[in-house]
Amino acid sequence: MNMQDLNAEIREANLTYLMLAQQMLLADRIGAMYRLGINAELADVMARLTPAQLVKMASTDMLIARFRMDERTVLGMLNDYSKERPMARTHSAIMLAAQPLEA
Amino acid sequence: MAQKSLVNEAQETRLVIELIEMGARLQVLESETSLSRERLIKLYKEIRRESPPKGLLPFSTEWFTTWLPNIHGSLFANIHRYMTGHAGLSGIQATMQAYRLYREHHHEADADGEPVLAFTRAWTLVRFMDSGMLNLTPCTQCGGHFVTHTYDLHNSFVCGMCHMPSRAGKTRRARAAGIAAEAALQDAA
Repeated sequence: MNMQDLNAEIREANLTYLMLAQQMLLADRIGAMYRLGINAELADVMARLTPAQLVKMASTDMLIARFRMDERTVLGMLNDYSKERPMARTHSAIMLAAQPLEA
Repeated sequence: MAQKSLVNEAQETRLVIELIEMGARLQVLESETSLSRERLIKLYKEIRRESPPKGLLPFSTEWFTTWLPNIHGSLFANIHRYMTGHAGLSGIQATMQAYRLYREHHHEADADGEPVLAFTRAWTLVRFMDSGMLNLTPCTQCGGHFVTHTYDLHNSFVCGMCHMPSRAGKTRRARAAGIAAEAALQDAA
């Protein structure tokens, strides 16, 4: 994959993320805030973005969304793969819920 | 209340309807609204088409420290903490929203039966935490927060996920589901 393809992929991922986040926020604001792990201010800004702004924000070569788990959390989740699946999901949800928010 | 406000009453009735639909018991309704007991019983009968269950609410904090209830309770408590801390909700609204999200998380897991954590249980969990009988303790291995007794020793607390009890999750129901899945596989082969 050359650099140009990679950048296009990143832009697409950005746009997908922003659109999904906005849709979630419009459908169920508080549930979406919990799932995205963002605070109220950011949620308001994201919900108000116009499509043109979304596209403009997405068209950068940097990823907009960040990984929400710290190293310890990731390790815990990898360990969980041996356990039965529904419980592993719950475990990761418990750990993610306690993570600090993105401001 | 010296003067009855119709608007207030309508709002409370709506809240009660929502609570009953989520599975709240009469005691929850009584302590969250100011509607009369007769009104509440009538509403309950109309919505559930049965009399409200009698008897005390489950009052043991011990239940929340057993394996499966602890995990479900911890998930709910984490969501609830998020609701009060970041989403700006409080009181019964925070409990309801948190419970809704908890059910959404688990709707596949217990589509076949009752949720592990019923709404009334979740509500009592919030009360136990508010009164300081239970609180959340970070696990020393995974860092997730789990429900524990406030005055237990927590210096080297390890959660039920990182340190599974030997027979955890091996219930009769889980075994039956496993056998059914195996049979289905053999049928397919």
